[in-house]
Amino acid sequence: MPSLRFTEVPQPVIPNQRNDEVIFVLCRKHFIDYLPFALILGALIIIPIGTALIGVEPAVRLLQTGTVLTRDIIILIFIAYYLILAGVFISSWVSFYFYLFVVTNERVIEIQQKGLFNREFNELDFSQIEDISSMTTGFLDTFFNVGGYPNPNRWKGGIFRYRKSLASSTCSRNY
Amino acid sequence: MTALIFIIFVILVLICAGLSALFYYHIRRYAFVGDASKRVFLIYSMITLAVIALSLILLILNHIL
Repeated sequence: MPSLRFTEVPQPVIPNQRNDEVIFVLCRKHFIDYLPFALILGALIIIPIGTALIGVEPAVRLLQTGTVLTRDIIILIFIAYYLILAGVFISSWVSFYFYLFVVTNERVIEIQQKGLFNREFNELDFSQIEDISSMTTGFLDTFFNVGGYPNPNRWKGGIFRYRKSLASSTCSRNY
Repeated sequence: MTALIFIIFVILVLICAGLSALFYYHIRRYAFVGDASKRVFLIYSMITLAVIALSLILLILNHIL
């Protein structure tokens, strides 16, 4: 059954898509790759609120006895902290979400988004593919069957089969 | 001193708005039709606005009460 992550997309998808090129699959990284970062971010969001809730008495005392300026500074620190966290979240999410793997009828393309301003575009024609390997490392990747992208073995098998069928059709055309 | 606090607040908000504009440009440039990037940006904008609004209310209350 096709995964929901393999989405059908309107053409053209990639910036230098050729006229007769058709995108078969557009795949994003599995969420499990983002999970450790999401957990750290979640902890950073909860920790200040949790600390304030656990230490209610000192916090209330500080708010009651502190001057207007003290309370203003606390509010400014609060806003700066949470705005920085929001910025870190969106920039990390952009890096994660715009990291793409595209299979067309002519080539395999990997678009790597590294931060906001670095974007790397790797492509390989099917005719140049000689060997395909997949790699699954770590407990979570093994448990969820992820090797950067979901179902690495399925990808490997699919690309290899397509490569073979393309090669045989080219041979038959030549003869 | 109150003016200084509000100037710092406005500077923080302006920095945040500039960053949001940068993120919006980036997401609009690389997003595909139907993907989740714009929705996530909307969530980010809502959270940011909520934090700014809450801080503004707290600052005003702090000076009124």
